Amino acid sequence: MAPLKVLVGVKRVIDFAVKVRVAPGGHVVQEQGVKHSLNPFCEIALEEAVRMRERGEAAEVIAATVGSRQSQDALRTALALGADRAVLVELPGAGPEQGAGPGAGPGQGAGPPLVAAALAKLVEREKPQLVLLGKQAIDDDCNQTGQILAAILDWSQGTFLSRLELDPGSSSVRIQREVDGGLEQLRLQLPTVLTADLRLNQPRYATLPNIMKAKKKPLEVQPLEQLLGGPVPPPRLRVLRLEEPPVRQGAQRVESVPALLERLAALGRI
Amino acid sequence: MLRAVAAQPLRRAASLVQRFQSTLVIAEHNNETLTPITLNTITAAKRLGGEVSCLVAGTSCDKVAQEVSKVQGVAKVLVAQHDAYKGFLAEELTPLVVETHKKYNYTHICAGASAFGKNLIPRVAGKLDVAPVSDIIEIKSPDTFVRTMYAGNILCTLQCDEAIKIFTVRGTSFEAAPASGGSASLEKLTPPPPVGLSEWIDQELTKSDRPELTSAKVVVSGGRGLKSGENFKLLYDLADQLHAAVGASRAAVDAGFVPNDLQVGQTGKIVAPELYIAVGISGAIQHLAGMKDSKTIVAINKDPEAPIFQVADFGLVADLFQAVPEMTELLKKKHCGSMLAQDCWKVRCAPEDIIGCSWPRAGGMASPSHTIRAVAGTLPSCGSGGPSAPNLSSISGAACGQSMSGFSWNTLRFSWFLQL
Repeated sequence: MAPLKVLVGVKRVIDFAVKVRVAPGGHVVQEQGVKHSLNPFCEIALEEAVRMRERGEAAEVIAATVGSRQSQDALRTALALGADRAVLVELPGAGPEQGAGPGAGPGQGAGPPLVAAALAKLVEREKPQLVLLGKQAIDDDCNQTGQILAAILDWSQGTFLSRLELDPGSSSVRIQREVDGGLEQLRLQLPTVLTADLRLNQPRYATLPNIMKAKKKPLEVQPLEQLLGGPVPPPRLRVLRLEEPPVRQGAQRVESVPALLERLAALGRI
Repeated sequence: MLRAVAAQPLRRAASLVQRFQSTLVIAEHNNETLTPITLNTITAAKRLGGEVSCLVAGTSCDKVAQEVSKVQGVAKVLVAQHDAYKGFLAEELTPLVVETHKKYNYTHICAGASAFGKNLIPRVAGKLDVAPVSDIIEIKSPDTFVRTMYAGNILCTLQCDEAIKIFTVRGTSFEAAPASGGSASLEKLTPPPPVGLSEWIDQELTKSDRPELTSAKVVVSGGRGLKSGENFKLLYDLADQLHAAVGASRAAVDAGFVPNDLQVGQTGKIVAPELYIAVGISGAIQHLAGMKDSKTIVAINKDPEAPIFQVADFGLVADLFQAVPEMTELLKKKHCGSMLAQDCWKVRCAPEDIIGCSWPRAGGMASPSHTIRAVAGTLPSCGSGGPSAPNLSSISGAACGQSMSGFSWNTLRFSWFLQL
């Protein structure tokens, strides 16, 4: 089987270690001056694609994102981690710190259906045999884009991927998925959309020389309208309100195990 | 019938549409039994106010269809049996759901937010060109839902203006619908032709006698602090005493201590048991996302600064390798465990049990007297309906096996306890 062309969808999100706050007004989260990075699941998807290329299973790895101009950071990181080239599908009217948000409201980025529609157009243009995404973005926690993309393309889907093997000589892949009770194995016909779970691999760090090299790799910017060939549809979910959940009272310290059991018994928990 | 005739003009009048709501719940099962999250999803579907139908698709559906037809609140069970549904592949189930929707015109389609629902529902939404809503925790109205984002740190109330609302339901946010008392009609569906894009090969499921993690009343979870997979035995022993499920943090899973499907957190399972005991878990945001809706949270950690103490109700700063076995031992002495429980005096504590007690006196154990104080503290709530709770001085003279006169049962049992 000839090496595959692989498209990897990545997303720029607020860093996983940041404590997120709702911005005044209650419609968006505070993004100004907050550390952003590549969504951890996207890193894993990208790592898998780069490993495939290193094994000679992939011919080219294209990193793509749908977001604001700021999302170029995420693409440069993807290039430093080993992607060959990158495409930014630029959201119209997204402000300097927007485009990576939860995807369901004004100025909050595209949201999974629109990202999937944009990626489907990119797939039409680039004709990859494999699209790799993360299983979910840690900001909107939707866990939808890969599945919607597979639906639009009418491709097979392999979600929550923990192992990927190409079947030599055939046009399918064998995957292992993480499901509720354990693991399951599937065979998927190519082309296919796969979404990476945490256990798929251990992503590498970008080295300084690779970060320098990434600056010279091609990064194309394409407006979303142009890619869709028409106006960008309005968001179909409207955020009415964002709020922080009630804060739990801190722990009451107990001095010993019997004291702990006593307290639990008093509450009827044991 | 009425819906078919009236659907078009009514769609414009939201208040009228509401009366004609109909929801399709996609049942999750293993060809033998219904997965519990489906019952929680049915409760969410009932909250929408319309008629609730359930789709049961699989290679062998009779048993499950019968089971679903008895669930309270289900009006109709649609059954699609075909070999193509082996492994419940989304590629095969999606055309079936879409066909079923075309036939009945649902206003809502939903499933539990399990690996099954998360895999299937967005594909269905993609085919119907609808924006799906993931993992809802509350239904405000038929088109307004609440869900969490950013690892549970933000609650988002959103309105879905789609003609069909397609969503997954967080099982722990809705009660399970009663599994009996219903009498739904059964209807066989003709499965659309197989798609054949994918094939299920096999599965390796983690076998366990313990309750299932997402529906357990008590969960004992371990983290990096357990140091090895062998040490998880300490948690299994404790879990057995509490009839608890065992969970883990990502650190414990990544280190290979336990299989992945035990991971509790943003990207693992979301649990909300009555009691969650976090052992050797620091409490990263991503872990808290999976357990912070538990009713009571206990943290056992030797680092007093661990963030888990900020969400825990009770925190014990201690070495887990001492605290956990001690807890197990205390619970193991059956009557001791019962004595601590609220209703112990009436139900589970027979005097003979108490006589057989021996206190564990291993190094590092708390003294019996300390425990007795602890038990005394719980007495008022234990003795409900019975004589008033004894105080320590009034019973300290009682001897094991002596005459019962002058003592209530509670006092007597307590006196025996004191002797040991």
